[in-house]
Amino acid sequence: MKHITWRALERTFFTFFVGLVLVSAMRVSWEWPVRASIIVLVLGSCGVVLALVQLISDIRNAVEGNEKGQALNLELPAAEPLSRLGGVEIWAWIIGFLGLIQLTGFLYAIPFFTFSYIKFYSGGWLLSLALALFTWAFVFTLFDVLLHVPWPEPLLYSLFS
Amino acid sequence: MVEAALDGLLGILTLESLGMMCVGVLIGSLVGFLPGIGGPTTLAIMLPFVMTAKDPMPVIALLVGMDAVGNTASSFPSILISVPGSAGSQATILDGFAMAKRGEAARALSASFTASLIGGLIGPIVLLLTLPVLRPLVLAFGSPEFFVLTLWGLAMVGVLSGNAPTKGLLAGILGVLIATVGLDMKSGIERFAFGEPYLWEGISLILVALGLFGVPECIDLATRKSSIAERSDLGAGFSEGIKDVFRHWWLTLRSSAIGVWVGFLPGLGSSVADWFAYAHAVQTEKNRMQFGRGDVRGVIAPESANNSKEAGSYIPTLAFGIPGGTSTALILTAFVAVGINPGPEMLTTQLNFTFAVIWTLVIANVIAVAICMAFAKPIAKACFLPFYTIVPLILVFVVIGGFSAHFNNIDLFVLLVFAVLGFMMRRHGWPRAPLLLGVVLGTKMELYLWLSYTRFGTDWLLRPTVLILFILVLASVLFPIWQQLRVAKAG
Amino acid sequence: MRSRNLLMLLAISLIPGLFSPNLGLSGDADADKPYYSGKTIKILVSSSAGGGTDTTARLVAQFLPKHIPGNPQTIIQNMPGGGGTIANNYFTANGKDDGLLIFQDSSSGPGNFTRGGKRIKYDPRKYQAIGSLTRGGSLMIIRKDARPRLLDPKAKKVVVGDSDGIRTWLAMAVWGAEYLGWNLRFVYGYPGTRELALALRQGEIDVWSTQNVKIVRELLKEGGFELLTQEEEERRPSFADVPTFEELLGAKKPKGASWEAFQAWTGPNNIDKFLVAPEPTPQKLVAILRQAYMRMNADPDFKSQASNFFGEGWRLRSGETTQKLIREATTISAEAQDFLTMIRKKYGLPTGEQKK
Repeated sequence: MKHITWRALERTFFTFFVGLVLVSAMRVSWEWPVRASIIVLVLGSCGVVLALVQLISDIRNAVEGNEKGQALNLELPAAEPLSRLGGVEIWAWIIGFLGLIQLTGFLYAIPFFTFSYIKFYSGGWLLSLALALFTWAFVFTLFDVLLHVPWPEPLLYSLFS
Repeated sequence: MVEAALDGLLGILTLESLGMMCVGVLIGSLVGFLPGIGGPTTLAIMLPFVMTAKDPMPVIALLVGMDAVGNTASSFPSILISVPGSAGSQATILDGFAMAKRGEAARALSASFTASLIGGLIGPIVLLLTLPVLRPLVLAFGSPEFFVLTLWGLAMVGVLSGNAPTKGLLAGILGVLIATVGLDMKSGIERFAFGEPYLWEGISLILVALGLFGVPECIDLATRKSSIAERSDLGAGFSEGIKDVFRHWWLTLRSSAIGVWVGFLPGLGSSVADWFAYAHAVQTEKNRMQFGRGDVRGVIAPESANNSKEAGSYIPTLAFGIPGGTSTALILTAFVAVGINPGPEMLTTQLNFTFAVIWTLVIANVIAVAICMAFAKPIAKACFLPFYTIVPLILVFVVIGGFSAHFNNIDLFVLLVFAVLGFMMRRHGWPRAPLLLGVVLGTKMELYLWLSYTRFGTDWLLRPTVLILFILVLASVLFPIWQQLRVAKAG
Repeated sequence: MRSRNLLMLLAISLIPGLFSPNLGLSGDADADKPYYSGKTIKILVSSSAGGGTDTTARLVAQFLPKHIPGNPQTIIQNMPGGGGTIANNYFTANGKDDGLLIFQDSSSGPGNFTRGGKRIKYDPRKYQAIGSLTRGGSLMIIRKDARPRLLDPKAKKVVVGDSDGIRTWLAMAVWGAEYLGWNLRFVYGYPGTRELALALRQGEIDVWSTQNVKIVRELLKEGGFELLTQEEEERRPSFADVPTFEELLGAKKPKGASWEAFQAWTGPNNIDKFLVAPEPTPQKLVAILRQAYMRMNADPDFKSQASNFFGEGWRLRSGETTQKLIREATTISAEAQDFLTMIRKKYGLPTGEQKK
């Protein structure tokens, strides 16, 4: 038996997770009247069968150390990060950005994020300022001026006012 | 009929109407270019102005112009950043984005626009030719037929994208289940909403599309710290793309025809026309191995279809007043406000308005393609921009696109959930396109299934049209699987 | 990054924030200016874009501000689902006393409230009614080829189609089945008016009802359809040959709890498309809105647009009248309520509970 990679294990777990979601969905829908549950049950049962097939295939591939076959593949595979940290970095930025939006609202967070990201990765001052201004202007014009969007209250505002 | 045609044409060719058309095309292109900020938002802005208009012709020019060109400009995000710019541009991502990675973005873009142009011209022609038989045709398709059609669309896409059809079909099934989240209209049951009122309306398609496609793409770029194009030379360029469409003229024609026919099915057609065309191309063209890796035919087929389908989708809209989606629903409201009445009159006394719509589709298409072509080359250069410019821009637009779903902070959380899902799916080779299609089709599929069952019991399974369609479904699902098995054995 | 860069970063990024409306640097209105000047009224709509309720909301959005001192802006927010439940719940939970959120609902809202159920978290009687637009009663259409089967218990049942099984006109069909021996069965789940019209044309359903006079006239012109009855107290002049439902019932009209239940089900239809402000809204704002609503009635542009959409026979009602009608439509004795639940169950229509 070859060495089972973490990747293969993760892959198998993902399949298992999908199967689990399907089974839970079917369980929950069992209580409902037919008109609400029919599609869940019909498709869910097909799905569970497919998930089992896939799970078996994944386990076999993991054990044999196979990577994917090269038949018709209509989606390019995900890129490998330059370093282990690479993946974590961008997620940190994303979650930070979303968090900032919650705290300070879009009109603040967007230019700040744009500016910081570019600057952090050694973009020039002009570029970062220009793009920060541009994104802010765009959001402001579209959502505030044209659409009169009711902005949700940012957390900082409600905490300190 | 000829006078109606002329009358419609003259109505559109006035200075006012042409002006409105240009405005509509510009706005429609801008909106199509930006993923997420879609038709409904812009139409909502337009509606107050439109409802006060006295003359219907400029209104037709503006709204139809705006609606018709969304599919053309939405090739930009599909090809450049692999985010579907509109529901009709999903299939384009598969080969379009792969071409961009090879540095052939300009070629992909010009091919897509040329194909769009041709599709947009052929669509109305087919529409015109089939005008007399349309009403009986639409009447022939009832709930059972629609159910099988949605099933067909989903199954076909599930099997086609990805080298593991099981994963594709599973993704599609997940998509349909995601579509069931919310308060079910026909039973009053709260499904998968965990008591949370936000979820009662269901999960917005925009959030799924942006989270599933947009964010993982950014993650890719950010982790590799490279630009979109992985090669620094330009590769085959702009003029090549135009030539490609004429090289493959037969494919273009077939795809356009498919677009119109699929498009005219009320409510169903818009989301799957491009997939049907793509699948058809994959199944019938020689030398298929390049599909999914950057084969220009994978751009031509869906792009011609998704422009010709616009003509098709106006049939049920005009003949029955059944909107294809929110945008067409709003267009209908505007039409009624200015005195255009969807219904049998559109094919008799108000035929000139129908023609005005047709002419607008043609002319607006030409204008839109011209604009997009002009911008294709410079915008394609964006593929060579450093990642630290692209990534924040994409993220910002993803976030505001997502926010425009409900203008609610919870939207961002949902976006994050789908971003994680999209990331995991990519990591483990699960195709994402079927999931998106499942969400798009899910509600309809379920509705038709339910209506078929409650109206016809199980009799509907034996209707001749249904049986024929079922056979087609099986054929299109089993054929690729059989092909893959053959390839696997040989390789 | 060095601290100097950080400070500059911070300073620069503060600039756009100064324009953010959330920081409230936009000045306060003068005391002399009308309350609504410079403000935006959000109109919540309990249906999706394009239907009758939505259209009414858009008409209101267009014309109401013209008659409100200060001419505020309006934006529309569609919140479909649950026959109006989602929107009603949201409105109750989020309506404040600033007069900036109003709600365009239709008869299903009070209808659902009367039906009850654990998901109903609103009470339409507490709303402050601004006014309502009513289109006249429903006209019931039947396919000519289904007509012979209507009174023949041995024939295949005639199919009645609806969107959510809650519509007020269904009461006519149900009471028709119960007391006139109509041979019916009910199918519901269609997304909306247009889909139902298509299904009727296809023969997937045989009977349907709508208040949209335009669609009715279209169908009649196409041929193959006839009008069975109308939901009115007396025959409309434009449909003088169609009996009202009470006329059809004649001597078979039930009394007591049964009739009370019928009226409770159909009652909300009188209200039709009504506009309300939240419970906490101060009286002077309610008065402004009510006045503006009635002024719309005198606006010739409004009248012609409304006729474009709804055909003839629509009319506006004042806020006070609407308030009264809401109260009437939602008052039902326990006995009648039980009857309602029982008879809905009998014909397979949704009741308040979610049992199988």
